[in-house]
Amino acid sequence: MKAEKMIDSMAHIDADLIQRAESHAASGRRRRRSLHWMATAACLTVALIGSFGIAYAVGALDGLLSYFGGNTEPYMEEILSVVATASNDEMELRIDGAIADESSCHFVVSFVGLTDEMKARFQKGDLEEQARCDVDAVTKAGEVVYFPSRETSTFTKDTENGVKADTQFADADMTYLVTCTAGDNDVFIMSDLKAIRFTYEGLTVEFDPSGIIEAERQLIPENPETATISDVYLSRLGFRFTMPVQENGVNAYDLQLIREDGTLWEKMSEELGWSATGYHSTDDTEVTWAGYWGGGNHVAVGFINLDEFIGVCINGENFYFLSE
Amino acid sequence: MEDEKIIELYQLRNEEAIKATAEKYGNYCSAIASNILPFKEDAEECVNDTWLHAWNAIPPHIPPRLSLFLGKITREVSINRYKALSAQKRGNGGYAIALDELEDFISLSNSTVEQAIELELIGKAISTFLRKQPEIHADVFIRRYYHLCSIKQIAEEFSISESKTKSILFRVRKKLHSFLESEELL
Repeated sequence: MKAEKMIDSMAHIDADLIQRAESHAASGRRRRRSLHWMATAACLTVALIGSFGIAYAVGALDGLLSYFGGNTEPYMEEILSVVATASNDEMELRIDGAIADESSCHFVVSFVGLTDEMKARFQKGDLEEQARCDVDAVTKAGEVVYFPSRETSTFTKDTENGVKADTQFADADMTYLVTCTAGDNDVFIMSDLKAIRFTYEGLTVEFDPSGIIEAERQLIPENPETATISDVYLSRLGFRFTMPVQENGVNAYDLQLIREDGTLWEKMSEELGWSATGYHSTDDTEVTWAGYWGGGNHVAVGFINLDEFIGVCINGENFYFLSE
Repeated sequence: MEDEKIIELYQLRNEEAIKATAEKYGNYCSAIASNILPFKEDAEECVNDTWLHAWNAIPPHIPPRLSLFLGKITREVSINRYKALSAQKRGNGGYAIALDELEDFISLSNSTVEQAIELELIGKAISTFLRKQPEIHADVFIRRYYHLCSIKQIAEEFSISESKTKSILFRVRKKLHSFLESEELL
């Protein structure tokens, strides 16, 4: 009888949450149908390729772990859930994995040359190839939108030549880690999107980001009366906050996570690192910083465990998670 | 047919509205009813009752999202039907199993939570709580305790194992219990 009331109260939860769960479930059903088809195809080819398929799967995981740093393994199911391919006579584009929060989406895309010429071009992997790539997205309302910020990195052991790809995947000729940032969220956030599209010379491969979006948690200021920074959010992948534009035009900030014991992670910029983009408000009085962990000293996205932290200190102002 | 057109038909009191609703949302509402009720014929009756409720409600009510509006009616009608059937001791649906799971963790006091307004308050608190959870955890929870889907179905929908589904539900229920306690709703 008491649990019955609990279920009755579920009838009053917010409609957007119900709709999101339904969309998530429906996209899973679609993906499953497509996986069934792929599984049938795989059964037909497995006799031919033998253990090569297993070796590839292991290789793909190893490769992804190179791009997605930190404790990524618990999220591998999510990261791999977007795997998609597109091909023409000359090449194949493959999304090997992706992860996102509301501000940023990171995905690994591999290029496979299907002709000798394309294979050689990808293996050379010069800067011109990055310029030939384009990324956009389609919202759930069907509108095409563009990311205000995009970065593309190729993984390489050769730090003097950060362009040449050191391919992480068994059958790829070039691999990129692409990061798209949604900006100050006035236009769209990742949850608004039904597809992110990566295009290279007219060939497009796309994936649905709805199942890979890590939840953001809002933080509240320790001293609300004196706080100058607002809208502070953290996720396992990054952060977002808004601060007033400073008079000298310099919008520098210092950011340190606060551990469970109350101490600051002082060497955070060296040990974790982050990259961020600032977006000015239309009246130019505020700047919103949206950033992601990692990227400080290596070409990889970093993950953190939010449970290990109680808040963040930005420019000396402390912000804490709402207690659950 | 677009939802706006269907709603327009309701407003014009055109019975084609029910036909169009059944065509577009019949499967959706049947799935919700079937998750709750053990017998197909009961589920079908509840779906038909949903169309009647919609006919009586629109106008004056204009639902912003027709699918959610219909889903909510189907859920409520089916749960009421289940309660009536339980009184007659007829079978066990997904609703009964979900109740058993929640019984261990949620024990609302009859003395403090009795009225519909209190249910609404708890519903809103659950929304607040779910927004702080990882999206997949919140979605799994909603599929289980709003849509009353089976563990197997949820595992398939989210491409996770049944044991992981159970583990997510266990953790979310536990956290929800603490949250509701801290909000003094338990």
